[in-house]
Amino acid sequence: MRRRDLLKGAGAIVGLGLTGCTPWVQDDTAATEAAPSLSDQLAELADARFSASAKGLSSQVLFDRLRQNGVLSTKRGINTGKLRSLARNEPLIQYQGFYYSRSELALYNLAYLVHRPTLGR
Amino acid sequence: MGRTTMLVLDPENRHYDVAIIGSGPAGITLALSLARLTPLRIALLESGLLDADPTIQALARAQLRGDLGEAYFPMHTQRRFGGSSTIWGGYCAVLEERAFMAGDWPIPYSELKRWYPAAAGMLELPDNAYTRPHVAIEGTRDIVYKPFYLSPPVRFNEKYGDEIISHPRIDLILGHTCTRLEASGRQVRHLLLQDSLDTARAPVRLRADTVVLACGGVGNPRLLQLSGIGQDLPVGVGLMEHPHMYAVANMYLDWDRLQDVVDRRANAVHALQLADAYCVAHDALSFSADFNLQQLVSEPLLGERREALFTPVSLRAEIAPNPANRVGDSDELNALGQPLPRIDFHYRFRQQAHRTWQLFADALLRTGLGRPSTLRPDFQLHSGGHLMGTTRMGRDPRQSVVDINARVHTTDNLYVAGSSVFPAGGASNPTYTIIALTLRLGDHLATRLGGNADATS
Ligand SMILES: Cc1cc2nc3c(=O)[nH]c(=O)nc-3n(C[C@H](O)[C@H](O)[C@H](O)COP(=O)(O)OP(=O)(O)OC[C@H]3O[C@@H](n4cnc5c(N)ncnc54)[C@H](O)[C@@H]3O)c2cc1C
Repeated sequence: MRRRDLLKGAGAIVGLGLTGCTPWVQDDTAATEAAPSLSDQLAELADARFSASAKGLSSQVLFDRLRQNGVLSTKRGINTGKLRSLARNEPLIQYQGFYYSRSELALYNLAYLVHRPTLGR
Repeated sequence: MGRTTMLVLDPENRHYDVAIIGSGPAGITLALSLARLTPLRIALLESGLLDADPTIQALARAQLRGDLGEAYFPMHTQRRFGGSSTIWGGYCAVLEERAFMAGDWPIPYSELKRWYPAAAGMLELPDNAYTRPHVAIEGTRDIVYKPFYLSPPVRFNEKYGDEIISHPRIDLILGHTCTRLEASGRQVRHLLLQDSLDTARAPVRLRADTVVLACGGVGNPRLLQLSGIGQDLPVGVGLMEHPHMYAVANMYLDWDRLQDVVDRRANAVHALQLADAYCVAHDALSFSADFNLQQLVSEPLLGERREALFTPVSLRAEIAPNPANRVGDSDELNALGQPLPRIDFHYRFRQQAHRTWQLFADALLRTGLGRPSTLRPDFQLHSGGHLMGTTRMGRDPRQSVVDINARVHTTDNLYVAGSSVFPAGGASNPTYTIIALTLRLGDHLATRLGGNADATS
């Protein structure tokens, strides 16, 4: 099975609320319809390499921050255009030898915390 | 039929319209171009023989100070018919326009560009080498795709030897090293030739109305220095090389955005470059980042999981001319009793490499085209055998050695062919541009010296 499909599977579990760690997924009025889509998107992005950068971070705080700066919405999911425009001005962060923009890394940390994949790349 | 000889018989009575010193790609291209365009009598003079000879090869030795190690010349110079094309790798790409936009070159880019099609023909390059030298990538103006096309590689001695040797108006004189140009006033009057092997033999003197140096990036300034020509010009100053850094970083590249751009069928090395305008706006020099197509993986890029190439990156970069990098006299003599060139060269490149990589990394990441790694902190610089900039082209004689037509500022009948005239070297291998500029020089000389496109033998 392709790794991407594995991650999609994990996303579906979160969407059903079985992990119990993502109350924000359900606290929106349109959450029942919209949450699976954001959850799926996060599941696609979740990667075990972000376990170190996500350590000690709170998914709620990350979600609030990303929602405030327009990167995330429970209705519309990830706003990649916004992420791209933020990336133009944000400082680059080095993590495990690669460059990330700040919001991008925050998003991947969030995806990791929500889905906690165990597979590395 | 012209003559191929190792003996210059009756040289005092021998008169040539044009003498070309050096039979590498530049010398051979110019001889053929003039022979095809004009009825002029041409001498093509070569220090070496048809094959490599270790005694003659030793004449190319130099005293090296700095970053070009002992092995540099043994590895990068060939004193024989065909010059270094007998061992070159064949990587070809047009020179970046950046240096022209920034005013480093005194001629418009169009002056060079118009000769690339004919140069591609000489090097057996596909038309894409000049019709599609770089390609825009969707979603970014900062980075372009720039392939380095591969010449077979053309060995100029093998491909053009027969035509040179059988041409009725070209005399190929092998095994003679030009040791001095004798000038008076603004004219070169004679060329002094020394037998490259029999050093006891008396030198011979040859006459030519017009003289062209095509002795390579060290040989060209050296002959001017040994002849005392252009003493007030910056001869030998501002030597440039191309730092090569192999597998110094890794990157992920969004394959969706690249797959329509990459020329997969071509015999080429794939590379990305900062766009010329971006370099000018950020006061950066050109450089290219090679990538390969071997590994496709899945990678999150700006919030989407994408199918991405994962590839090591090798860099080939431009350096700025630095007056401390130069060719001059050493205290050692060669077998002909002439001082070996002393070459001072330091890359002084580490800081620039970090800055340029940072700019590239920024552009790559912020447009979502890819994710770069950091540069390996202990990266090594390698040289490319590309010697440029030692007889720079320019309008101001205080800053340059040759004018926009490659004529030495102080001397009316003396020209220079080869990468020594590059005032800025870009990040592309030089030979394609050497050939283009040499064809331009051939056209100029044909016009100036009474060329006749219908010249017959
Ligand atoms: C290993 C290697 C790999 C390379 N790979 C590439 C590549 O992939 N792509 C690329 O673009 N370029 C490459 N190059 C560079 C390329 O070979 C040169 O750019 C090209 O050969 C320069 O041509 P030229 O005619 O100006 O000089 P040269 O080829 O150096 O020829 C100069 C000639 O002048 C003769 N000469 C010198 N002094 C005298 C004198 N006083 N009297 C008489 N004759 C003299 C020499 O014997 C020689 O034959 C490579 C070079 C090397 C060494």
